Amino acid sequence: MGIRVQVQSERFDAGQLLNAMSGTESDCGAVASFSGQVRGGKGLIALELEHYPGVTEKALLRIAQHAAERWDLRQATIIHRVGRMEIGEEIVFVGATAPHRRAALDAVSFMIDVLKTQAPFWKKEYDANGEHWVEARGEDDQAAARWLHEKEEMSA
Amino acid sequence: MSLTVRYFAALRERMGTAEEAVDTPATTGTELIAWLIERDSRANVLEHPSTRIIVNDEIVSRKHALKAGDVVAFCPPFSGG
Repeated sequence: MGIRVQVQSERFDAGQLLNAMSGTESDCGAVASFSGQVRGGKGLIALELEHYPGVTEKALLRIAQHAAERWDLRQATIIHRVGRMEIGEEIVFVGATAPHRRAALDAVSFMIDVLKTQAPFWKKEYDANGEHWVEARGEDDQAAARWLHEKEEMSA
Repeated sequence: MSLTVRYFAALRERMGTAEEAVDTPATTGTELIAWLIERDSRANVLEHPSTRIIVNDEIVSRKHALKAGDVVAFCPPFSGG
């Protein structure tokens, strides 16, 4: 089981990360991934991401480990950028490989949903009017709660 | 007791500092927040239920018992991804 988590300010190539995860295990029939990028609109100029060095990396590691405990995976990867990002630039990459597709797809959904509410990152938006911190969204809490609630039911 | 207090994102800007050393009688997160507000009313935002407390790298509840030397971080709701 290979787990990789990283927080970096440098840009990354999601295609390259996906290729690196593909074809590496003979028993894997599935490679799934999610890439998040800066969405334009509403006058947005750029985003700035802040994190809690050390603590954020630990949180990401824990999320990837939880995914690996819950599903039959071979690899789990989370790469998240910090610093300033322009519209269209990549923010986050989450990937998983598994013998079967459902495990890979669900693990990717789980990792990105839980990351949004459990990993210490903060987003600031810059637009023509200035700058403001992005508030947490209720639907993100619900998306994460869906997985965490299911887990409680499973362990009950 | 002496603690290191850290503030992140919007809370850092509100408090005007990223980190400070404090000497306080507070023994829990709740007491520390009350003590910080008494010292400087700008700290009233820390009372908001959405504020999370991380002590020595672990997310804890406000009732968590603090000990000398702890690093207590106040965090607004996370918004990554």
